[in-house]
Amino acid sequence: MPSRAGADSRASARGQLNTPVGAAATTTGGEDNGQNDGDGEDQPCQACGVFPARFQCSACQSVRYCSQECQASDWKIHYRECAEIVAAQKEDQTELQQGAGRPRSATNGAGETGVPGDRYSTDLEMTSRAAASPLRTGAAGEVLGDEGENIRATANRPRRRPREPVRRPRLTPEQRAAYEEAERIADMKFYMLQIYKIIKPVVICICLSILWVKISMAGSDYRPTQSSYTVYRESPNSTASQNFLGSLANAGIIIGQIVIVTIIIVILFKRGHIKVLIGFFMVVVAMLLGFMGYVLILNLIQVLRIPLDYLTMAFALWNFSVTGLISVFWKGPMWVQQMYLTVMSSLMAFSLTGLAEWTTWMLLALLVVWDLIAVLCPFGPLKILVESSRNQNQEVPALLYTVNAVWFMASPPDNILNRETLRSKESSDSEDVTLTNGSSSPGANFHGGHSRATGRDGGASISSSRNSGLDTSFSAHDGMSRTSSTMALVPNRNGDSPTGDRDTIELRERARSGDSGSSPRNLNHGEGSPLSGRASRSASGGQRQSRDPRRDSREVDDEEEHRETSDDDDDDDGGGLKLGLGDFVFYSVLVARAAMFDWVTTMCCMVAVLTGMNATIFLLAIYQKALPALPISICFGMLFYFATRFALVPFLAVLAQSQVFI
Amino acid sequence: MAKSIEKMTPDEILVASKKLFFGGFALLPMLWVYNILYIWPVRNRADLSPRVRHYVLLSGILSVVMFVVFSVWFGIFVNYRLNWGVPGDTLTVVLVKGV
Repeated sequence: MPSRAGADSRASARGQLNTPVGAAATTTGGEDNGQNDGDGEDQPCQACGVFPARFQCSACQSVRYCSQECQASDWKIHYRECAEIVAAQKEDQTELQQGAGRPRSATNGAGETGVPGDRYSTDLEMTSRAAASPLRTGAAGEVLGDEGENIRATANRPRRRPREPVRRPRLTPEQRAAYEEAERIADMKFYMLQIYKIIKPVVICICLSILWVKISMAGSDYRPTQSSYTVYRESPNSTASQNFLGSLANAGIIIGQIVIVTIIIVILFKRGHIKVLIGFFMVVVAMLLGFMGYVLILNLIQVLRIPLDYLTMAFALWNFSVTGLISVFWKGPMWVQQMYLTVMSSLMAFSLTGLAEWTTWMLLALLVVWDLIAVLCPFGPLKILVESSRNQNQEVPALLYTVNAVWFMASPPDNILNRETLRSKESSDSEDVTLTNGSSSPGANFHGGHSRATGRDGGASISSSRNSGLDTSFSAHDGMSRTSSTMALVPNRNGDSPTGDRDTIELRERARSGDSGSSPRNLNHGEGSPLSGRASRSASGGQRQSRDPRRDSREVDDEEEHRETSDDDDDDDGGGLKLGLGDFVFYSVLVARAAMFDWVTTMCCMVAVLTGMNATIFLLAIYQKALPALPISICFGMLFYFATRFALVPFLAVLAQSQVFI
Repeated sequence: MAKSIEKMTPDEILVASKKLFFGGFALLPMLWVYNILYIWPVRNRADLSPRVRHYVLLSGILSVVMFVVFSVWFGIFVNYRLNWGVPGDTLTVVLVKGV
């Protein structure tokens, strides 16, 4: 067991404390001792960067620390790497000299690199959880979930840049290549998991919309109707060109409204009128839940012949809407919030089924174009919004993402937004420089990176500055999460982000952390707040360190590690992918429109839309940048709709009549 | 929701629970149910203020009471609305066809 056990003193039973450099050889029988001795003078403390770093990790002997506190704080980051190094060492050793003295953890047998890491992470996981909630010992079962843990752990790796060779002298090129290959595979695995997670709410939303449509079509007088601002009404005897132009006008009006609202929101956001935006969204959500809920209830009670009195209905609607508002804008169990968002999307889709047929298709087609423009163009409003939300580190995007989608109609799978963001970050550090006012000690960075977990824990961390940034970004990404406190803390965050790199990392972290929004379930284990709190404390203690040229490369590595760790944390929250509610809504609109035709078309469209979504996510994995989620799905859906409607359904009708297969 | 309830401090939990409890009196028994759902994962936390349990318990009792009250009302309405004549029809949102 590697000895950064100090990571949490609770875990100290299973590891030894760090050993002074000289003593390492004796305790662990490391062959690499000589080498480490050689660079003992110029290798800074891994956690805080201070010289001299007189201690080293006794297991892998490749990192140094100035104190046990630093080791403890870094352990969360180092443990997996430590396991890898140890495993690599072990492989080397077995090649060179069979049965020679080797680090103890290596003697555990387990041949592959994955296994030690797995065990470590599980251990850590266990301790931190126990620390966070002493009474939640039911977590024993969770510990068994270490396989998932492992998947996640590996899945996270791809985010990292290629490792610094300096750090891993013992990795041969082949090993490294294999490692990178594994990273790629893990990346794909990660996206697959994301697809599983995101597909559930989408399917639920689509099914609900189908249900509403089917119910309302069964003889209800209260179907949603075409809104009054549409200029053209289709009639059965109008020609195709009339229909085309008329529906184009109708859809154009709606799209125009969407564009205008989007731009207004972006402007408001850029100007920092957050409260206005929140108020606006609250009104929108309340209207949606209240009014569309009312329309839906009218449909339901008429079709299902429920005698309902006004008292009960008003009471139920009032409760439904207010609870929805509270869960979306305040706090509450994540699953309730997700449920509300899904229902809201289906209600929105239901209200849009009032549009005439041609108008619906025209609207969807225009939306595809708008989505492409808004997300991919350099000055697309959504892109600007995402970027400014990143720059200002405001939480409203979260809000925008929840509701946004309803109005923007097209938010891309949002994980990616962040990714894209960070990509641009990587390319231009200048932005960060503008954000930075002073405090350019690298330690501050460190501090930020290290205390990430604390940030997520939210509470009483000493290092609130960077944390809060992280927290914000987390919540911003979270789709449904928003705190009031984060906003207050935003300025701090701007204060200490000297290097773009660091931010990149954090953004990645946040990209990872995202998505609970759309993920159906959200496992929030109590990640040990004491542990991470301690980590951040010690890390911030290290700010005094001086800058060293060698540190740069070191920092890169650290970043990666941070990312890794935090990814680890974050994946518990359901992963990094996020789909805007707008996508939910318009997928549902398409399928609901198909449901108004017949079941064969409905099912074809549903499969097509989901396939398109998967394709988008796949592209996402390849391009790693923000992508609009509507185009592929909607194009597939429309293609399948018309193919089914005009080819498959008539064909099936003929088959049924002539009874070919009977 | 910035953080999950597991990561909130006891004070925050207390405040949230209190707000939800008193909010429930605005004819919002759903908030009481919501309160229970919200607090449930941390109900056994050692550092939890006893007042939170108090609120949650009261929320549960009151929401059950409200549920019973409305069920009774709805039962009465469904069974007697035809006997009430015009007032009964006025109360009905959508007149049920054929009954």
